[in-house]
Amino acid sequence: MEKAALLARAQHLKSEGKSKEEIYLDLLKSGHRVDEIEAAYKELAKKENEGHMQERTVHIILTVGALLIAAGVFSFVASNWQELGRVTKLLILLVAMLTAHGVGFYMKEKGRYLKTAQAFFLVGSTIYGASIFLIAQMFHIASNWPDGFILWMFGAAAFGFGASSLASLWLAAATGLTATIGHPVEFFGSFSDYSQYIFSSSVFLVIATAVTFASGWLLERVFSGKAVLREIFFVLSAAFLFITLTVLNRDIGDIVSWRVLLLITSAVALALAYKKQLLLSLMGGLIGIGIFWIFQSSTWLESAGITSGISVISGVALIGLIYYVLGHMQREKFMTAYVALGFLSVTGLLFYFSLEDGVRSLTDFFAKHAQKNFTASFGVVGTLSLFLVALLFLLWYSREPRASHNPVLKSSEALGVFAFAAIFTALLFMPELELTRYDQFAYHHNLTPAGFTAALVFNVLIFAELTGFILTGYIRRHIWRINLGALLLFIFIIVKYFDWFFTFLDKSVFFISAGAVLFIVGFLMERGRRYMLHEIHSSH
Amino acid sequence: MKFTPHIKFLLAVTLQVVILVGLFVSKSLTSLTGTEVLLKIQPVDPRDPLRGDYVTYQYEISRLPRSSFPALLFPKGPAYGEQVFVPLVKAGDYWTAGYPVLQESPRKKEAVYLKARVVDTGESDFVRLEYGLEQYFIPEGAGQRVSFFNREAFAKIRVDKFGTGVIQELLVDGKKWP
Repeated sequence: MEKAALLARAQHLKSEGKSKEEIYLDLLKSGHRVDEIEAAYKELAKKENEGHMQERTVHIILTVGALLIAAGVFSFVASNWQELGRVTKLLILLVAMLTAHGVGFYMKEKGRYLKTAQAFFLVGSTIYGASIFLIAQMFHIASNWPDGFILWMFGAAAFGFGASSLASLWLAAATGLTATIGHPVEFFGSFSDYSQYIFSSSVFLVIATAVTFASGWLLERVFSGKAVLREIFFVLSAAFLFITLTVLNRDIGDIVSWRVLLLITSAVALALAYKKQLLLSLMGGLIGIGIFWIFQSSTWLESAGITSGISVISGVALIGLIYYVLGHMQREKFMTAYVALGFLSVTGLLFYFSLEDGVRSLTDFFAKHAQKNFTASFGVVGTLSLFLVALLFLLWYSREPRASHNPVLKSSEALGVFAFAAIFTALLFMPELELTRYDQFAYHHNLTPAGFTAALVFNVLIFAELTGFILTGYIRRHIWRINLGALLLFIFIIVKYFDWFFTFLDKSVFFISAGAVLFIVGFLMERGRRYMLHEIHSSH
Repeated sequence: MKFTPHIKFLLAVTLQVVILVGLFVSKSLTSLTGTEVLLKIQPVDPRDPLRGDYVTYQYEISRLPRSSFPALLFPKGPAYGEQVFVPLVKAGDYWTAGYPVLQESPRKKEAVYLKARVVDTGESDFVRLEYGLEQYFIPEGAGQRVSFFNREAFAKIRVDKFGTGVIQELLVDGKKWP
């Protein structure tokens, strides 16, 4: 009885918010002993824990129950989906989406569970996207439906900004990229005869262009530090601009070619890149110009009845060299893009022509029947001349020192650029040459002496180019140049052995000697690379 | 008017609801109010990863003779991607293409025109069209080893006055399929 009274008194004091010390003092004053008070306090704590455990148990049971009900509902819906009416299906989808958003909102506002809230927002935006396609399924809307992804992008982007949900914004970027991927391929003729956007309205695409541009613009103001996402949205806006222009062009009767629209879009991308300091837009614009040249020059050649594509190759090389030189007049951020694109273009061409397939292509380009006299096409002649003049001007312009943040082109680099420009221009004037001869018994093309010389020349050129690029990295203290050059040199060596020397050596001798040479070269490269990197780090 | 975070959230959710309901209502209106037509079909069968199994086919009216495109409206002939409106006329139990194909829908109650896009002008005497109605979603697995050859297959479609069509069902040998 006394024990029960003591317990009741302690419980009452605790419910009044008294601390442990205050409860102890009060009970001591009432005449109770310390050991009695301790025992009562322990009993009280034990009862409280039991209460919490009961609460937790109920909470867990309810949560599991709710999950089971949800699973049951989901299973019922999935198995009876076909039998459900359209309106019922729509209501289920809306309820699911609103529930996810609602729970996310509650988590964020009341519970301060921000990460969990973001997860629920993403679930809600995903259900929204799934609903678009499920509604499309209800009405049998065609499977090639980029409009569905665009609608998904609209909703996800709006929600991203409305609920400050980065996850939804990333989802919007992903759906936008998905919507654009299918489209450009159509205009490359041989890939597909079918436009993904054949049923899209131009108004809808204009809205898509505006939404992606606005998203990139808003990201600057609403979310700081999300540079990559911002870049993606601006690139998407350029992509949608291209798609919109092609659809508008189609609707008004194809008054210009898609290549001109690509050039316009590339120019816009470049302007946007410089205005907003966007690396992806810059690269997109530069690559777009290259693609424009390849397809436009091919069209000009075809119109003039010229089958040799050597002038296209020369044009690509000159564009790459122009990018390389221009890069050295840019600030650091853009310099890397220009230089890398320029270097990779020229390296790619040299690499291709150093291979057996490449030498065989040269035979086709230099064949009499190819009518390689590109001068018959005014467009090609005019543009190549423009490229050459521009390159020479840039080489001359870059010879003087500029402000310290704009590194100039070194004289050795300028000489290298000039030499490669001369080589690729000289290819335009090569006489008819048989570089390979078909062996009908071996079903294989063999190199003629001229072909072997050409192959040797290109192999030496690419080796020199890669080595030179690595050295520029050392001189300029640009580690990325050293790493990129070293990687490509390594790949080049691996490919060379499989491409050229396999047919000349016994297999076992080939593998042993190839392995030994690779070890030696790899060791020397690693040692050289480490030396250069060490020198750079030491000087910093 | 200042947008509080709560208002922005509500607006964003509302936009998603409006898009979904708008898409649903636009198609439902055509299903409820459009003119019902039966078009003869010829099939193929793939699978769409986002939306389950579906049957792909083309219609008898997917290939029209060049003569269906009047020279006055199409002086250089129909161009790839061009939007056209194909008149439908009843021929027995089902509907077939009439003459002439137009560039705008006349929106007359008594006439039925189905919107299409030119997808192949080719070199032959025929022009290939697509109506956006060449796929029909079916329960998973029901499309395997499907063949409509030597069977009377039709698509029941509702067409509104704007030329937009919505598939209602497929009929094979007079019965709903699958």
